Amino acid sequence: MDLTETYTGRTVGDYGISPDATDADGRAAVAARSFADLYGRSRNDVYRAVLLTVRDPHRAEDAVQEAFARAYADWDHVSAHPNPVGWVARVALNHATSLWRRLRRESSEPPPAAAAPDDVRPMDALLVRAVWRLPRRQRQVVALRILLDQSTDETARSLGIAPGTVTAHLHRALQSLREQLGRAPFDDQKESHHG
Amino acid sequence: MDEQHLGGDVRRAFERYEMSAQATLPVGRAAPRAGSRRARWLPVLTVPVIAAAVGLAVVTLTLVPARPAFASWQAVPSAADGSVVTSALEACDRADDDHLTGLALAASEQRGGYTMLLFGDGTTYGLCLTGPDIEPIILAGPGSGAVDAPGAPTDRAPADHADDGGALAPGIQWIAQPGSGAADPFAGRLQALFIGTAPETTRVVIDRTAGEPAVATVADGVAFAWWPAGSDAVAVTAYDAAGNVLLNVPISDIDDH
Repeated sequence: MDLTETYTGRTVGDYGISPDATDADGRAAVAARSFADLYGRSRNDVYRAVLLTVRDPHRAEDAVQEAFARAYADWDHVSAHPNPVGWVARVALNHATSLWRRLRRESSEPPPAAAAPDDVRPMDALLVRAVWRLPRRQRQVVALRILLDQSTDETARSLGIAPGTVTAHLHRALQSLREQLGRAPFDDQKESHHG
Repeated sequence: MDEQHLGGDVRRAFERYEMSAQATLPVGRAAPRAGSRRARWLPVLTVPVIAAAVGLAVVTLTLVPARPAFASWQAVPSAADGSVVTSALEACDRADDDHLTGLALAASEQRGGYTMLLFGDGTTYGLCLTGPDIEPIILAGPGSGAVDAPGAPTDRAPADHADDGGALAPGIQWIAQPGSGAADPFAGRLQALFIGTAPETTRVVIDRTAGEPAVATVADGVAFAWWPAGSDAVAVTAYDAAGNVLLNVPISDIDDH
């Protein structure tokens, strides 16, 4: 693993370590810092993506922690990965659903402990509920494409489906959300939200 | 509302969610590998490790007679004896100080020499398997991938519920199946199904790729069954008290993502 240039494109010098440092300790320090950078920068994004998919804050948190732990343990590989955030998200999503695979009907109510006061942005709670009513595959696509800003191809690779299927799921998801929001008694707040 | 706006709204709606304060950098498990230190030691360690493993295997095969796992397992469960349940309960309590906390014993069953206990609080469930030749196995509980029963039904089923979203009633409301992830302590040893049942369901039978169908124990609004690894569930059938089929669900419908 060449730690002089990590996934972030940063160089050894960016971490305050001499570019001449070639010993194992120096490389380990750089690795730890680059991992910490990824963790601090993306853990909430990955958490939201997993939460959007599994709708269970505890399961999502466990999965994200596990995914980052695996990333840390295999940092040589992950740091060289072209899409480390996508790697972590995929591992977290797999972990969140691997212990118990579910068929049908999970809760589509927001976890109350995690919900912000609805008077901050009234449409948010409505939109979260609407997203959680989407079929699981559509939620996965929304999580990766919208929350994590992964490309269509990256999303397709993460989910093991064709890029065209990603596009179709995203289109259907957004269409469904528009329909749900259109039916909700929230049009005035929705419009004011958009300014 | 165009797609870009809607996507932005979804992002903003989820910004309220963050990892809890307790979540910390998971650096205690293993340090990143530094350079080729591991590679240098690998050849040195490989030979003695392989030699030891081969020696251990020879000794094991010589001294321990081959015996299939869960040899006494039975497809149709029976009621667990009270004293057996008490022993199993104590064993499960000793083995687990986390996942079953707060859950009360809800049901039990016996399959050969193995006792499965169901713990629950009405919304979250955990299973613990004990037997004469195994350490207690916690199949699920809070924080362990948990069988957290789905919440109240949504006010409407999504228009597109090709992979989930709609209730399966009558008969079965949801199905949870242990995965095959390497993290599962029971992976490769046994399989289980955990099923949310409708009130009218009194009997649940699981067809498998090999062996006779496994009859589930139905109690407390759920049904559960397990069997030794080696066959996969094919379909789940729910019956009412009169023996009528309420629902037959192919397991292939289970979403594995």
